[in-house]
Formats: sequence, structure tokens, C-alpha cells
Amino acid sequence: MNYTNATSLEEARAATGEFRAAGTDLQERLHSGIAKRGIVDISDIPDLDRIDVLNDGCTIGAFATVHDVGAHALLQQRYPALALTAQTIATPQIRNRATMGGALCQRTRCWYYRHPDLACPKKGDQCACPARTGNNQFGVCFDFGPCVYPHPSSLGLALLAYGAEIEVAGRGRISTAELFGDGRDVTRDHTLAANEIITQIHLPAAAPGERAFYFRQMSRMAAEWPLVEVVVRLMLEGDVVRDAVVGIGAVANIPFRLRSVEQALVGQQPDAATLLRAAALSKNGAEALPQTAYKVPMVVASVLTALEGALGVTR
Amino acid sequence: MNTRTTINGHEVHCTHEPDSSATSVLRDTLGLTGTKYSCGAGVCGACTVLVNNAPCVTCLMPARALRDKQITTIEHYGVNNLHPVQRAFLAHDGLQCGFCTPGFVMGAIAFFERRRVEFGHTKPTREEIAEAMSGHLCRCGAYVGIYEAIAAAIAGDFDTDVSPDYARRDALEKVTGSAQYTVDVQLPGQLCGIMLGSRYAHAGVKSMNFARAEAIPGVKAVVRMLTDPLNVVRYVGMPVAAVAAIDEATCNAALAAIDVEYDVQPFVIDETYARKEGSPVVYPEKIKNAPNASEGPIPPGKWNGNVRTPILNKVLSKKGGAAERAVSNARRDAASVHLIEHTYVTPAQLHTAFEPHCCVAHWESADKLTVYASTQASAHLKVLIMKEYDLKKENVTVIAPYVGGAFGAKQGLLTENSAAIQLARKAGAPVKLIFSRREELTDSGCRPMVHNEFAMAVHPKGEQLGMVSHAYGYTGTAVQSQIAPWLRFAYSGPKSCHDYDVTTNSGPARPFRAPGGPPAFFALESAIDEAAFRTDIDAVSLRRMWDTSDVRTGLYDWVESIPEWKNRGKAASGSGRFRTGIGFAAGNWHSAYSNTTRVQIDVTAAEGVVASCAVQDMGQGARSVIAKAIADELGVPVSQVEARIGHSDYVVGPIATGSRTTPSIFPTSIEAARMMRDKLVGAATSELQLRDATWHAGGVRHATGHIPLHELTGKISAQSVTSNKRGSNGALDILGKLPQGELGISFFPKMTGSVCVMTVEVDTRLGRVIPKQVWMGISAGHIVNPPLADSQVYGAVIQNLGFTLTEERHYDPHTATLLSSGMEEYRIQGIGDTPPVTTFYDETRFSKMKGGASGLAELSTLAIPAALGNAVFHATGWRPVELPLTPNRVLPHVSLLSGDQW
Repeated sequence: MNYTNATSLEEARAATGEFRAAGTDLQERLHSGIAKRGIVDISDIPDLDRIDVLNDGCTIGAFATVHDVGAHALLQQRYPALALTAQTIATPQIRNRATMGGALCQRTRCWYYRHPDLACPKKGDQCACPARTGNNQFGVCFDFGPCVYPHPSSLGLALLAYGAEIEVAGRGRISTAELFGDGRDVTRDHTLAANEIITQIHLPAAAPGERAFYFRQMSRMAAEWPLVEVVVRLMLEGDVVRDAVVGIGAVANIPFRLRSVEQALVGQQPDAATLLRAAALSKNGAEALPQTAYKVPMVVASVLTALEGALGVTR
Repeated sequence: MNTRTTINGHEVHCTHEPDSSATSVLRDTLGLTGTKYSCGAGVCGACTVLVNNAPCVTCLMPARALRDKQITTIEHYGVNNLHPVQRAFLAHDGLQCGFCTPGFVMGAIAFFERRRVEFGHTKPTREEIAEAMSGHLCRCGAYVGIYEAIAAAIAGDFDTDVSPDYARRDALEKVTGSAQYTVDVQLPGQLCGIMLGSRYAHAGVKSMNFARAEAIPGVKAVVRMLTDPLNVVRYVGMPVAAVAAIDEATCNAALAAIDVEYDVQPFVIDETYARKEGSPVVYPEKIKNAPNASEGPIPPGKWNGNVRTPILNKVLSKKGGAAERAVSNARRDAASVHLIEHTYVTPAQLHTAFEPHCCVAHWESADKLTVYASTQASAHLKVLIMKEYDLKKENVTVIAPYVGGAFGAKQGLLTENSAAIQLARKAGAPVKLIFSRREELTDSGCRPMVHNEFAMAVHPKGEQLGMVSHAYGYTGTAVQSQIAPWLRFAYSGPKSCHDYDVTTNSGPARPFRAPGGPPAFFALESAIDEAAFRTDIDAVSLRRMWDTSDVRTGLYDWVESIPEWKNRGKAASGSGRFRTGIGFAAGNWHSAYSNTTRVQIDVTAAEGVVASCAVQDMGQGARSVIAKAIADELGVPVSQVEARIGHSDYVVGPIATGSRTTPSIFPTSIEAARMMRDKLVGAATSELQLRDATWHAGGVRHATGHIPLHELTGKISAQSVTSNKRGSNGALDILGKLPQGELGISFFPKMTGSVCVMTVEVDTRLGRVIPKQVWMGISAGHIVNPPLADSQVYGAVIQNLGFTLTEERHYDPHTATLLSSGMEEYRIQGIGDTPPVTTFYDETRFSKMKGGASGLAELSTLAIPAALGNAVFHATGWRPVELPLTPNRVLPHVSLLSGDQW
């Protein structure tokens, strides 16, 4: 196995192989044999784990752990949906090691991709997406491109909702949306080239008093990849919604924002009828696969639940 | 590469590959085998250690990441350094098989320490514990005890350095990680073995060539594993060959170099299609060599394509003609008779033992073999090995002191045993072969999926007029799904019961804790609930009306005393998004035992009281039953009795399946203890010249005083007794005296009984069903060891909540490859999914059975799926007939109740 221990970004970018910070995703793929490009160990590169929250924004180092983000008091206060997402995903043991950069760059969780004996274009095989015509029970219901498995990054969804920018060594600052692309490249889960490394995440200034929520629909209480996940941020002025961000994940091969839902909320009093009307718009544009029609009503139900969660509506 | 780290306070330097995981360094390089490897995907938490005091899963942690860290493993908390959390796990029985336990303990210690700093001794809520432990799974279902243990530890109940009383005799080894499972065995010169599974679902194997594989340096043996008489592979993953080499990487290289020429045939994986005319046939040949999915013999059957009809069907009906007529009359005249007719669907359930199937074979000479196996039947496995390899009795030893979960899938001479034995013989060195998690989920068996085309006619006054069941069990490449017997023996009334096996190109089904039981009772008890609703007869009263035995009478009385049940409202009478309901269901199971079981007791100065029996403890508590029975009989603390099991050299015990363990070992343990008591009194009299010696208060009372047993052992010669064979249940029990044959099972002519009451909450917006509280009533006679019986019942509840709610297999339709081949996709219940469980035992109904104690492991599973389904009906008015109740199956039926009309 080709191995490089890189102690600087320059060394890392010059080496051949997959970057390994905490290794949370890579380690399993190495063991199953689907990761074959070798290892570029970047965990010794210094100063990439800082979290700095300032008045005009925030910088999160790529090596900051998911736990660090979820437990950070200022992040909890100013970027509540990000902190909540970080507290909810995976398991405590994984959150303790997994890095923010890795959470963004992890490969798809599709069972065709992860199975060493099955072909998938994301492993470099010359074939069409096997899940599209195969078993797509946990597939997308918004069909953006050839790959029909949901993007795995819940934190990517949260960062998208906060308009975060990603600092990439070798490219400069890009938006979260640019990081994930449009979902049309069947070989990729993000748009970074093999020698590009995420170094930092920049968040714009916090919106004072935002009401935010992260909701994931699962079949169990915890530790499960979502069927649908929703991030909501509502900025209220008096009892009127001044601005709204509603992002959705686990339903397409990239996370994306539900602009029509946002528009239906802005300028409105968020009463039950308004929330219902706005949530109902979330299914516009849905195109289910043979086995994922069940997700479409769950999209509406999840958006509604997340909107209520942001407003503190309890049962 | 070399990594320096600090483990349990000691600086350590270890050499490893760049891609090695921290688990492999800890376990294989450093021999710290208390840390377990199970799912390999960061889901189950068995490999959890503390990294700078934070819990982390080591399977996803590169070995190099250990560098310059403070690592704490379970070995840090040994017998002399127990953490309060470990004492709490002992006292609250927060474990069963023990395989996930070290991981749970480490996670709980981290939570304990963090929470003590923040909140002192304040007891955490269930929700806090569930969140903190959400990265740990337990297949035995020990969560109820784990909740209690963690809460009590944090509250300070175990802060003093005093070892608590605890019921599970091997719990100390399990909470300290010192219990050695088969996967932990490491012999000098031991090689690694891995199997090659078929890539095709159905193909003839034209040739196999090992030359390239054998030429790879480090490869020590390659053997053929394909046993199909026609050289046909019939599912993806079916073993074809196996290799032994110096390490895993070399094995994998060898597997890739095995040349197999396949003649690919059409396959069938879709269950419904497999039943249709013209679908590919799994066994097209005339003489079919299908493995057995059951624990009994395979009766002859008639094949039509993939569908097999056993001749037993005729025997298993009772007034079958009358039943058929009643149902067809009801179909014509639905106005005067209630017809309940559905196809009840239950999913395939994978055993998912946390210790995968595993075997270490060691040929000490050409005709002398020692096998370490993760098995439910060490003595039986020895017999099978003797036959298969033509070895003498004294030259085969099977060792299995700890077994990390089995649930029915670890009996017989299995693939991993054959592969390890053959590889070790060829290589001339010990070989350890462990199933990967993917192999475990693909090829270690399942409870078959069942479509039960079920109809029942019920008179408006409640009489059962006729029941007709056509139960199709999808047994993969095996045969012998059994639903009909359970329908036949439960309740009165005419019954026409038919079983069918449907073969598909998927792994063979195997017995799973109460084979056929949960599917059978899901249909039957859902149908009765519907009958009760439609006749407006109380659900308990209707069952009283139909019962043919008194076994559940006391349980019904108890159910009727439960306030939540007594005060339940009408079905579907709630409103709003969250609907609550309560459901009730019952079950019956056979009462079995092995009449050849013996128990031996040795009393020596060096070791005290040691009992031995070739029986297995996979978490159900066999060790503890033996120790407790003997200690109680001798009148000494249970800590003074050691029970040794899991070794084929011991006197023959029962195969630990079929709920026969306790009914076999309990009366024999008592008998052996009584024999030993007499022997000790005799020895005291003759060797110590005591007068008027009698057994009293845990020792020998004599004319001038009393010698307690622990003092007596040092004063007399070593004593040994072996009980008689368990035998039948009395002079008139002719059935119980019949010779049993190799599988060793007899039946007591009274079935055990169980009931389950469950409350649920249905989130009608999201389609989620949340169990809130479970009440389990068991009528299986005397409860030998109440805390362990509780744990067995809790585990049954939790496993069957998984069966009912989330566990589901998924295949690729184009290749028949199992896609849900990891524990992210095969969804067993977590601690947060576990509701509080209350137990009740009616111990009065088996006084005529020897020992008075029947088994409850299988009995306690039966009523759960239907109780949950019936509670969903009570909450929503929708009656589920297809499991599992994942949100996609629930939401379409309940979304209109939510009030969110869009």
C-alpha cells in the first residue's frame, strides 16, 4: 500500500493517494478493499483544528472534530443548526474523531459502492449507476443526476444553510454549493480534485436571534443514516419571518435549498397554516425512483417538523 | 511502520502496516483481546476504547492515530481495579453473551466520568443514557439492565469498593474483558483462514485451480469447500474454497488467485417470482440436497419448481375439512359469520451474533484434533467431527467456554468448522477462521421470511369455526420452515394448516430462536385480536374461551390487573398527530428437555466445588443455573460453586437450543448436589471420625459441632459424583423414557404459555411506531434464576421489536448479492429504541415436570410482534399485516390521521 506521511499542505498535495485525517471513512474502505489509491496521511499537518468565532463570522479548521463543533458554546449560540447537526449525526464515538473536512469529503454510503464485489462508477468502474435499476430502497426522490444515492454529509447540508465558504488548498475559497457541484458527475461526491484539500470553513456573521432546527427522519431513535434530513433557519422580525433558509438532505445526490418553501415563509406570520402551506411546496420537483415514492410525503412531513422545531412548537 | 503510544499507563511501541486499524494493533499485536471486533463499520461500538479519555471506535481508527495518545482499554479495569460502572453492570445484569460488554463498559465509564464532573451524583434520565450509549449495540438485548446499571452507577450506588452480589456467574469475566471467546484464541504458529464465496447466485463450477494461489509466498493451504454433489453454487457467497496463510492480506491475495470456471445459470431472488411457473429453479435436479432450516428431521416432501410441500401437512391439520368448509362458507356469507382473511408477511431475520461464526482448529497429531468453536453444542459438534473425519472419541476435543451470541445459528458441523479443520490439517498448523460481518449476514442463516395466506371464520358469539393457513416460508437454499405446528397446537377449533418451503438463490435459512414462532403467532394473534374487535368480545376473554390448557390462566388474570389494560379506551379514539394504543397477544411453545443430560460435581481442597457439564452458555445463563441449583441445594453462597461448561470432555449436556437447557441441567444439578451432600457426609464420618454427621446449613453438623463446606474441603479427600441421566418426568412418562438419538430432545406433554401487553405511540405525521411500555407474562414453571430469566425475557422483547419494526434484508435484483450486508443497513434495535419492560411469572403450572422448570427463551419471543401490531390498531384503527413496520410501510396508512392536510 502506497503511503505518504505529509507534514505540510505542499507535501500532501504533491503525494498520490487518498487523504487521511481521522480516517473514519477511509479506514472502512481500506479494509473492504475498495480504497486502492494509497494513503496520504495528513493528520500531522499543524494548525488545522482551530475554531475561531468572531463578531463578523467564524472559522472552523478542517481537522476540528464533529464533537468540537457540536460542543462549542459560541457555535451553539450563534450557529445553532450547525451545532445541533453536529450533535445529532453518527455516534458519540465517531463524533469524537471524525473531522469537519472528512465529513464533507466522505464518499457515498451507497450499498453498491461499499460492496467490494459490485460495480459502481464512483469506484472507477465503467458502468451506469447500478442502484438506478437495482435496489434503490434508500435512494433519492429528487433525481438530479446519474447517481441515485443520497449525499451522506449532514454537516454539508448545515453549512449550505449557513452560506459557508470552504477554503481549499489549491483552489481558494468556494461556496458549499460549489463543493458539492450539481450532482451530474457520476464519479464524484464532491468537486475537489485529487490534490485539493479543505483547510478551513468560513461562516458569515451570525444572524442575531435566528430560530433554527435540524431534523432527521429515521426508523430508529439514533445512529442511522437519515431517510430525510432538514435544516431550518428562520430570522424573525416581530412576529413576521424576515428571512428563511430551508435546506434538505438525504433526498438527492447533493444537499440543496428549498427556495420555494423559503419564499412562502418570508414576510409571513409563521402560523400553523403558513407552515403547512410552505412545507407542502417542498415536494415540488420531486422525482421518485421505483422504490422511493415513500420519501415524498416524508419530505413534506420532515420540513413541517423542522419548521415547527425552529419555532419551538412542541407536541 | 512504528507507532509509539501509551496504553493503560504503559508506553508501547508497535509495528503495523499503514492501513492497519487500531483494533488490529490492540487485539492482534498487543494481545489486548478484551476490545472486540464485530461490525467493522463503527456501528456496534464493541471496539470502543478511550482515546485521551474520549470514547472512540477503534475499527475506524488508523493504528497510526494511536500515536502519542493516552489509550485506555477494558484491561485497565481488571478484577482488582473495578470501576463503579462494572460493579453496576454485574449487579443489574447489564449483559448476556458478553461480547459487546467491554465496549459498553468503556462507553459507560466515559459517560460516568463526564457526567460526574458536570452534575455530580444526579441520576441521568433514560434519554441521556440512550444518547450517551447510542454508539453501542447489543444483539442479546441487554439494554434494560444497562439502563439500570448506568443510572445506578452515576447515582453512586457502586462507589464503594465492595463487590456486589450478582446472579450471572461469568459476568465478572465479561465486564473485565477477560472472558476468552473463540475469536480471541491465539495459538503458537496459528494461521489465518478465509473463505472464497461464490460471486454468482447460480452456476455450475466446471473447474477450480489452486496453483496460482498456492504459489504465493506465505500461503500454507488451499482447500475446496464446495460440497454440492453436482458442483453447483446456488447463492452469492456460497463457500467454494478456503485458504490459510500467514496473515489476512496474504489470504486475500490468495483468494484473488484462485481460478474458478463457472457455468452461469439463471437465478431467482424475488420471493414471489420464485413461486411462479417458469421462474428459474434452485434445485432442478431430481434428488435435491437442500440443507435443513429446522432443528428436527426433514420429512419427505413433494416439489413443484421451487415450492416444496412436506407430507406433514396432513398430520398438522385438525378437522381440516371442517375448517376449509367454515372458511369457504364465511367467504360466501360474510354477513352472519366473521371472516378474517389476510396474507400476513413477516421478514427474514438475520441472527447477527456479535461474535461472528468462528473456529480455530489444531491438529496435535495426524489423528488428534482440538477445535475451538463458537458453538451452541460442543458435545454434539465433537460427535459430528468424529464421524466426518473418522477420529476416535478420545482424540477429539471441542472447546467453547464463551460464545458471543448464537440465537440458533451455531449448531452442527458448520462451514467455518470444516474449513478450519481441513486447512489446519493441510497446512500442518493451527488455523483460525472468522466470518467477516458480510459473510456473517450472508451465510450464517436467517429466520425465513413468511407469507401466511390465512383465513379464519368466527361465529358472532366467538366460536372459532375454522382456520385455514397456507404458510410459505422463503428458506433460501434450505428447506423446512415450520409455521403449521404452532398454529395446530394453539387453541381449539378446526384447523387446516399447510406449510410450504420456497427456495430462492439466497443463503440457507437456519433455526432462529423459536423457529417459525414469531411469524406464526403474528398471524394468529393479529387475527384473534381482529376477531375480538369484530365480535365485540374482550380480547382476553376470547382467548380464555379458545384455550385448551390452563397454562395461561394466571397470566390472563395478571393482564386483567394491569391498569393500562383495564382502563384502555376504544380503538382509534384518540386525536392529533400522536396516537397511543395498547395491544395484547399470547403464545405457546413446546416444553423440551434432553433426557441424557448429566452433571458432575467435584469437591477438592484446591478448587472447592466445581460442577461440570458439556453445555453452552451463549448468554442465556446455563453456567449460572448450574451454580445456583447446586449452591442452593448445598446451602452455600453461589460464589462457592464454580460451573465449568463449554468443553466436550465434560459429561454430556443438552445441545443449547430448543429451550431445553434449563429443564435438562436444573434437575440434574440438584440430583448431583444431593449425591455430593451424601458423599461429603460419608467422607466426614469415615475420614474425620465424626459422629451423627448430617448435612446442615451449608456444611456437616456432627455430635460436637459444625464444619462449613469451605473448611471441610481442606480436611477430606477429593470427592466426585455424577448425576444419573436426567431421564423422564416420572414412572408414567413413557414418552420421556424413549431413546432420543443424537439430537437429544424429548417433549413434556404440556406447552408453556406467554402473554405480552404493549403500549405504543404512533407518530402519524412521520409514520413512526414507538413502543412505550411492555409487560411480559411467562408460564414456564419454576424460575430458577429470576434476574437471568428477566434478562432472557428482555432480550426476547428487544430482538422481536427489531423483527417487528426495523430488521429487513435487501438484495440486489440483478446479481442476488446481499446489500444489507453490514450493520448500518441491517437495523437491529438500539438502547434508545428500548421501552421499559415489566415481567410476571406464573410458576405453578409445571409441577409434574422433573425439576418443575421449563424453558422460556423461545416462549418469550412469540407474542411480541402481534402485541405491537394490535397496539397500532388500537391507536390508529389500521391493522398492520406486513412487517417490519418501517416508516415507509406505516406512513401511507396513518398520514390522514395527522391533521396535516396538504
